[in-house]
Amino acid sequence: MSESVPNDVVLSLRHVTIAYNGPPPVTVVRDVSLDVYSGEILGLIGESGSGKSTLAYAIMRILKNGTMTSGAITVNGRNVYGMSAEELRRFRWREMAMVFQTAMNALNPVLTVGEQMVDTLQSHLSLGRREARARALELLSLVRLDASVLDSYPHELSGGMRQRVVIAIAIALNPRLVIMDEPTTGLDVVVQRTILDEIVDIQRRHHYTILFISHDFPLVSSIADRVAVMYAGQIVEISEGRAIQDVGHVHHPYTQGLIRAVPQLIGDEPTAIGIPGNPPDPRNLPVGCAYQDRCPLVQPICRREGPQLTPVGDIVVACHVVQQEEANVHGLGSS
Amino acid sequence: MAWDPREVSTPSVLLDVQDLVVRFPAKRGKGWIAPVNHVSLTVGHRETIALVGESGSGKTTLGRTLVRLLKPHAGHIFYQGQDVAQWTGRQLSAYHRSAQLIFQDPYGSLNPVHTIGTQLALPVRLHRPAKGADVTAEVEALLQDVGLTPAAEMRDKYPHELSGGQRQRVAIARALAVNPEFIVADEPISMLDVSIRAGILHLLQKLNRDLGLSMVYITHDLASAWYIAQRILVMYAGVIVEAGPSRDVVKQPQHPYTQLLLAASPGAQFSGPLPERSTRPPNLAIDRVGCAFQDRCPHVMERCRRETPALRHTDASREVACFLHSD
Ligand SMILES: Nc1ncnc2c1ncn2[C@@H]1O[C@H](COP(=O)(O)OP(=O)(O)OP(=O)(O)O)[C@@H](O)[C@H]1O
Ligand SMILES: Nc1ncnc2c1ncn2[C@@H]1O[C@H](COP(=O)(O)OP(=O)(O)OP(=O)(O)O)[C@@H](O)[C@H]1O
Ligand SMILES: [Mg+2]
Ligand SMILES: [Mg+2]
Repeated sequence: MSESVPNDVVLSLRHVTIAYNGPPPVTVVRDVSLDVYSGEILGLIGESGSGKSTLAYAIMRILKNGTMTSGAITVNGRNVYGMSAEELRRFRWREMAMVFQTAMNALNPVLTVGEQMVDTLQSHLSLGRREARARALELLSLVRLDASVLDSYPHELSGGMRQRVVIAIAIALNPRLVIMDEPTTGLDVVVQRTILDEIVDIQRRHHYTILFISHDFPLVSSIADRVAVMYAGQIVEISEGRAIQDVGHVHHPYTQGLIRAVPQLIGDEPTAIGIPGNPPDPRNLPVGCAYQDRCPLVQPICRREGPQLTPVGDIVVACHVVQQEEANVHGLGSS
Repeated sequence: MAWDPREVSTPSVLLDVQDLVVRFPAKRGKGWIAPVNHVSLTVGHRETIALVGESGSGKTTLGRTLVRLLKPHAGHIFYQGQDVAQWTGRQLSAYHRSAQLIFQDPYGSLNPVHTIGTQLALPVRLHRPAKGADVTAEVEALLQDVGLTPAAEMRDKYPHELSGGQRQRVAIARALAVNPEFIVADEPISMLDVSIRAGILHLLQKLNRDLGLSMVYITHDLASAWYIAQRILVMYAGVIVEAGPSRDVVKQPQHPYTQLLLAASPGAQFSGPLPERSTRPPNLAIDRVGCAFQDRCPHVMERCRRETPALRHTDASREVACFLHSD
C-alpha cells in the first residue's frame, strides 16, 4: 500500500538504559531495544511511571536531570548522540519532532497561533512571512482547523483545538519521525476519537513514522500497526496491532490483564476488571521478573531470573511461563 | 399514548433538584454562560446516578453545586425536603457534613507535608464524637474501609509514598471521615491507570452497598457509568439531554449526542470514523436559542434551531430532550 521502501528502519534503539541523577541515581529505563519501521505507527503502552516519556526524551536528546547510561539511538541512520549541538538543532523538527504529554499547555499564551506557527517555520526554513503564513494555513487545514484559528490566542481555543494546533506544529517541517506522547490524554472521548482519526488519516497520506505513547490500551491498540508493552522500564512484549486486542492470543500476563481491563460496552453485563496490586518502585525492584508480585502465573524461576524478550509465535515476549508453554507445545520443552 | 409520570413509584428521594441554574460571566463580550441551565434531577436514598457528558458540559459545576461548594443563581436543591440552595454559614456547614465531594485529581488534593493519619484525624475529630485513642481507631477503621491495609502502617505514610490508586483511596477516606450520606465523585478514576481503575470502582460500589451512601458519579466514560450507576444522566452544554436506567442508555441511546458518545467510546462495537468532525466547543450562552446540540447534530431540523426541546419521558423510566423522540 505504502510507496515508501518497505521495512526500512527509521528509529532504532539498542540496549538503551536511562537513569535519573541521584542521589542515588534511579534507573527507570532498562535495556530497551526496538526498531520502528518507515511509515508505521508503533504504539508504546505501559503504566504511569513505566518510563515511556523518559524514553521519548532520550530519543529527542532532551533528557533533563537524567542520562542515557548505555545503549545507542539512531534516527534515519544518524546516531542522535553523535551530533554536535548545531547538527542536533537542525535535525530536530526537520527529521524528528515530538508532541509533548502536556501539549495542551505547550503553546505560548501571549502569541496568536499564527505567530507561533510562523515563528517555528521561519526559524527552520528560509520562508518569507507570507509564505510561512500560507504554509501555516495549509497545516491547520490538515488537522481540520479553519483559518480563523490563525488569529486566535490559545486560551480562546478548546483543549481539542489546542491539541490539533500542537500536532500541526509538530508536522510543520515534514519530519520523518513524529513522537506523540499521550497526545489525547485528558481530552473528551469524542474529541479524542476525532483527533485519532485525523492522526491516522494524516499518517496514511504523508507516511510519517509515528511512535505513539499512551497508557490507554484500547486507544493505542485501535490505531497502531504494532504495539510495544512496557512494564517497570522494560519492554515485555511486542505484538501486531490486531493480535494485541485478542485475549485468546499468546501474550505477556500483564498484557492479558490490560486486555481484560478494557471496559466492555457490548456485553450483557458491565464489567470492571483490574490487575491486583501496584507497579514496583523503580528504586526497589525485585530480583527476577518485575511483574512477579501481580502475576497470576508466577513460578519460582520468575523470582530468580529476569526473563528475556524472545520470539513466541508471531509475538516477542519476556515471560518465563509463556516461553516455557510454547516450548512444551512444540515438544522442545525440558522441565 | 399519554403517559403519566405520577404513576411511577420512585425510590424515596434524598436529593430533589429543580430547575437549577448556575451562571458565570462570559469570558468575551457581555452576558452570561450557564454551564448548568435549568437542570432538574433526583437522587434516591442509596442510589448511584452517573452524570456523563462532554468536556465543558457543566458536570463539575453541577456536582460542586449539589454539594454546595457553589451557589446556584436560581432553582432548588431539596435535601431531605429542605431547600439548601441558598444556605450559608452554620446551616451550610451542617450540609457539608452530609454531602461530600471526591475530587478528580488524587495528586493535587492531598497535603504533601502531613501523614495520611494526620490528614484523616482532623475531620474525624471535627465531625465524629471521638477523642484520643478513639480517633486513632476511627482513622484505622476508615483506612480499612477503603482497602488501605495494613492500616496501622498506612497511617504513617506521606502522600508521595503512595501510588496514584492508593492516594485516590485516601481522598475517598477523607470524604468518608465526616460520615456523609451523599457523595459526589468527580471523575475519581480518570487520572488513574487502567489496571487500577477497577479497584476504585469496586470500592465505591462497596461503600454504596455497605454504608448506604447515595452517590453522583461524574465521568465521560460510559462503561464505568454503566458499571457503577443505576441510572445514567447525559449532559450536553449545561442541560440534561437524556436520562434512564444505565443499561437502556448504553444499549439503546436515544439522543444523538449519546449515540455519538457511544460510537466514540472504547469497548463499543463501533469502529471507523465518527459521524461528525466538529471542532467547536458547545455553546453555553445563557440566552442560546434552540437545542443545545443543533450545531453538531446529524439529524438537525428547522425546529431545533427555533425551539428548545424539553426533557420528556419516552417511557416510564426514560427521558430524552430531542424532537426526534418527543414533542
Ligand atoms: N526529572 C526526573 N527526575 C527524577 N525522576 C524522574 C524524572 N522524571 C521522571 N522520573 C521518574 O522516572 C520514572 C519514569 O517516568 P516517566 O515520566 O518516563 O513515566 P511514563 O511512563 O511516561 O509515565 P506517565 O504515563 O505517568 O506519563 C518514574 O518513576 C518517575 O517518577
Ligand atoms: N468559576 C468559573 N468561572 C467562569 N467559568 C467557569 C467557572 N467554572 C467553570 N466555568 C466554565 O463552565 C463550563 C463548564 O465547566 P465544567 O468544569 O463544569 O465542565 P465539565 O463538564 O466538568 O468538563 P470536564 O469534563 O472537562 O471536567 C466551562 O466552559 C468552564 O470554562
Ligand atoms: Mg509520560
Ligand atoms: Mg469536570
